[in-house]
Amino acid sequence: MKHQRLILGSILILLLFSLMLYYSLDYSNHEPSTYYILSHYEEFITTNVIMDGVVQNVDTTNNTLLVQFDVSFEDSILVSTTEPLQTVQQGDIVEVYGNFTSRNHMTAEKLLIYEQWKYDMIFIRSLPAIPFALYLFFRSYRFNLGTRRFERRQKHA
Amino acid sequence: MPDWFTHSLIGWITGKTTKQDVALLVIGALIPDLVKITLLFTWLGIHDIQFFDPLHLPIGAFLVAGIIALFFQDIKKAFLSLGIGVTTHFILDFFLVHTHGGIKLLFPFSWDGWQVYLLRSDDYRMTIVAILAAFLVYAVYWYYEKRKKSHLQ
Repeated sequence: MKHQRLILGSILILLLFSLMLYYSLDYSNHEPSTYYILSHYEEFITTNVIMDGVVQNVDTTNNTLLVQFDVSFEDSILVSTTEPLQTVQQGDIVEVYGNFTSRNHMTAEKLLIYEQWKYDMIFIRSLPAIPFALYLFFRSYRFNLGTRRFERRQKHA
Repeated sequence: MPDWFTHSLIGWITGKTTKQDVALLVIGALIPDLVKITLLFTWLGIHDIQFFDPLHLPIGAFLVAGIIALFFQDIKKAFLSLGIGVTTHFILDFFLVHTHGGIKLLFPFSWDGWQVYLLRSDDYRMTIVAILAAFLVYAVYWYYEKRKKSHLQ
């Protein structure tokens, strides 16, 4: 069939788009984002939620963290925890699972803290993958504008 | 997520050892992280974009692999290599530590996530192990290729 690829491609794109649309419309009922929780905080009071943000202040005496959970929300939330906070520093990235007790307070059941430099390193370590993947791919393939397909280079055929 | 370099190296190792198309396998291993396009929107000040999240779900990543495979002569062969790459990505991500939840393997039929909390995503030792393993595989292949050539001469 002449247009087999075109039909198949259209079906796959439509399926993917439907999936993305369904996810974006229904995620708040299953796995609300930090932004959604903070925008609709009344709905989440006394429920368990997951949020991630940046540590603004560490109080080792009361074992609390002041966390800014979303860049668009300037007011921070106080997170109480039983986990040791001696090594936590301002600027560290934190992922919290716990009870959302009020708009400005949360009791952490689980806490995952990433040192800021280690978190940034994930992105820096990722960079070599781009030239690596492009080199491997274009060493083996070239795009044929006529057929609109990738073809194996002679050497790698 | 482990870093992209670790994902691409694991893809490369898998491609070499399974004698699949290494180039496509590496591309496949990076497909789920197309979800990082969201960072662009965050950078532009547009928050709470969940639209692209399915790209980091098995079904979404396999659909992208299917779309990419259409641009190759042998669709099935290309999809197989891309699909194996996607699978290596999720196998690696499956072992990451999170506070809650995991990979939604059955989405869109279920929103439940599964995960084995074993490795932290900021643990650079995972990258070092992947680099060493890639060097080892490269050395083994280089040695056998050299031996094969000397036998032919």
